[in-house]
Amino acid sequence: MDLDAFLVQLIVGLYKGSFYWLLAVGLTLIFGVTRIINFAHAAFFVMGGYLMYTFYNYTGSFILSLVLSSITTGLLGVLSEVILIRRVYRLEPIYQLLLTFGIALVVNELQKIIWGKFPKYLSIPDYLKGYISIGGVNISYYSLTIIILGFLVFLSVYAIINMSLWGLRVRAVWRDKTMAQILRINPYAVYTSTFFLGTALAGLGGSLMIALHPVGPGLGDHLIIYAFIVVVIAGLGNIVGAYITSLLVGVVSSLATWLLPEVDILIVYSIAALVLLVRPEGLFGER
Amino acid sequence: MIIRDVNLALIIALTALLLLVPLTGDRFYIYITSLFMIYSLFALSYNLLFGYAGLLSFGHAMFFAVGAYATALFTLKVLRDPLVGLVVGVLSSIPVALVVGFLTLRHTRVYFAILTLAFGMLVYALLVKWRSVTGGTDGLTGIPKRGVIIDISSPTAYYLFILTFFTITTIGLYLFIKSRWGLLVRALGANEDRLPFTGHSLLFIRLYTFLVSGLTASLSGSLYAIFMGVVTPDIAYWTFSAEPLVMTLLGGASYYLGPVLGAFIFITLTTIVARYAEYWLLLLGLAVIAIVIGFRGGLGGMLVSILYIVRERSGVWGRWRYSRLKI
Amino acid sequence: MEILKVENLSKSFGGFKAVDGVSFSLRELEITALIGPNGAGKTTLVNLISKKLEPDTGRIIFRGMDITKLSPHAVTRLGIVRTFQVVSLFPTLTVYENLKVAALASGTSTKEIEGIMSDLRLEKFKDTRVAQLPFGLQKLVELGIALALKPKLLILDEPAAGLTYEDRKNLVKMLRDIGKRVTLMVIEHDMEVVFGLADRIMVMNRGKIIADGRPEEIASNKLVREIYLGEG
Repeated sequence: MDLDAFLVQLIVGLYKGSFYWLLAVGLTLIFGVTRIINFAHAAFFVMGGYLMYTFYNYTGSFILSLVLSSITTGLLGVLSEVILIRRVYRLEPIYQLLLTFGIALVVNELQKIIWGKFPKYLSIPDYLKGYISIGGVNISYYSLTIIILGFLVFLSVYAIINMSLWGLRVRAVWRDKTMAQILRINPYAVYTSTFFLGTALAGLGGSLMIALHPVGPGLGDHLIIYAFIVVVIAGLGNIVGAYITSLLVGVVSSLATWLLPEVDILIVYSIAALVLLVRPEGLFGER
Repeated sequence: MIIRDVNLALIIALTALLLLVPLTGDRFYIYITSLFMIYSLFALSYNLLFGYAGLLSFGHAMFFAVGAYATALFTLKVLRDPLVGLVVGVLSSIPVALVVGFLTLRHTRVYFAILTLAFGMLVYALLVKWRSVTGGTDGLTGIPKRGVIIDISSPTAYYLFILTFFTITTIGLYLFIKSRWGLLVRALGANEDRLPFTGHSLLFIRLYTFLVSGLTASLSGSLYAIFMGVVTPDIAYWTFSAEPLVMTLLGGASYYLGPVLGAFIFITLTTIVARYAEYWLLLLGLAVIAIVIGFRGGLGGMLVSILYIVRERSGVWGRWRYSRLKI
Repeated sequence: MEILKVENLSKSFGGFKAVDGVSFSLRELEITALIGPNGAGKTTLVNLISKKLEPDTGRIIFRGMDITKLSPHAVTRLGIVRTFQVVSLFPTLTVYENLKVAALASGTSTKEIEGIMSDLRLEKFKDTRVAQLPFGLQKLVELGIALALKPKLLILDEPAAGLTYEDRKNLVKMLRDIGKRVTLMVIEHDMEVVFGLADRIMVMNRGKIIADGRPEEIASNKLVREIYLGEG
């Protein structure tokens, strides 16, 4: 087997997986805390990409735009939570899913209205262009940046959840909402802040992605499936599991595309279905 | 002849109305009404699962696609006849329903929903990747309307073909729901926790519901294949699974004919309104949001509420008691 | 004749032992009341017998057959029927339809369903959706479903809860009638109902059966008095 090509595909898989991670972490956090599966999550990811495009063209600074678009996306997520999602906490999960689905439709269409029907893309900023040579293989700085950033996000989220006061509240509500309320923790504040963090991270993912892959209508529909697959294979509600699984899914699908292009997506979906059947809680999941 | 059942009366009335369409001779109306009937069947099949049994599925397009592709493959490769092809298409849903159903229906409702998404996309992937058989992203073309047994090439002919199946299936499905089998399906949707303690197997009831729903969905898919003459993999993509869901919601999931009303609204929005308002999907999304937050009964629910108000104010419906208005 | 035999049944939730090595037998056509303070494990015991929960240890033998591994619907069809403390009906279905669902499993005829409805004085509400009925009538429907299943062993979980004084007296009368044809086990807190009905009383506390005998014996049992009147 061609080791060089394998290495390249591995790196591709890792940065793809990092994108899946940025998409999945929000979904997992939001589900863990609110027990809602946010169908609109991928739409926010894509929103990050679009916002990045706009901010970058306006400010010319990659990093500034990154920060602005992530935060804005987070705020939009909060908006959706406060105005709409909050009203369905007491309804059956089916209606919650439907609501987030409706929100996804609306967000997707708004994106089309604001940014048009054609995909938008950005080029990688000059200081991140270029390659580094590892063992005879050229790996782009940008993809390395993404992988490293993804890992940093993982560490940060893990640290925040497990070591900060806010994280403690999150874990309390996650465990037992009623008990948390008895302990004077306001679950709604936790819900909203979780929505902010989760959606902002998705926005970050989209913002980073636009430099590599054009962002346009239909992207959200495609990504949501991968987000679900990751979250479901990993198990709804586990941060470490989600990170590992995201990378795994990225690498497996990348290798599959390289080695077995005739059946690449088939493999991913089959694995997802298989895991779900054998272990419905997911590989790392709680219940 | 007085039909005491409101729904049957409505179905007969609707059929009568639909019979008038080909008389207009307008190809566009014939086309769009045919599509309406096909989508109605798809939505009705969906609501059996969703509204009556309480099972939300994101993979229902799987049945539609299986029926469509089975019909296409059969008529193109084995026997050129739409009627036989239709039968094959419908029957092809049986193994799919049994296998997928057996694997997915033992889980809780939320996992079932996600599993159906995965399986639905699995079918999509299969259709895209198995180029030699399915034609890949290009799909299959040239599905015949003229066959050895029947010839439905003219618009009037294929319209009546679709209408026949539409009426028979709509009535048949209704009789199923009113039967003892249907009662158990409704019990499932009403309180599935209680059901095992009334001596019934949850899995068994879910399975046969899934089967009937699948058969009907595949029928609509087969009709679609014959009608369009072309099938492509996008009819298996998950967003297509969402369409009957939206139609059901729009029309009202708790009314038998709700999905039909929803299909009507949906087709109107997608074809007629879409010409003037490019962003009809936005309207759809807003409608879904509005329905979930406010009008969970959909348009059907709103209409029924209006009927009640009219009755209260004017005593017009006189002899009809509330309990009679069973939709 | 022994209709039910329970051997060393246990169930824990996390570290908490809800049912702790419980063993007893029920005799046919004997009316047994199961009493005890809240949290004693009574409902959990019923859940285990009706297979709503899987026991951690122990066996359940019904009419000579080991049913420990059977599913809830199988057990129901064999004749063990239970009602729920919090009424669990099919809300969108009518009274008749609720009973019909049960009848479909037990082979009860339409005439028999109508008989049950008239015994429970529910015929007027035959076509009313159960969700629209007042609480007291819903409890009767709950009982109706149980009867439509043609039970051999009927376990009632707090059938008198929430009923008015009048309704309770009628309930006792009804249950005594039913008890002539069906073996009954009743979980109850209302002592008047218990003493008006039971041939035998079992007392549970903290997952164990601490007393078991005729009503007069239980009434004068020191331990039982302590639990209800003393340390609580």
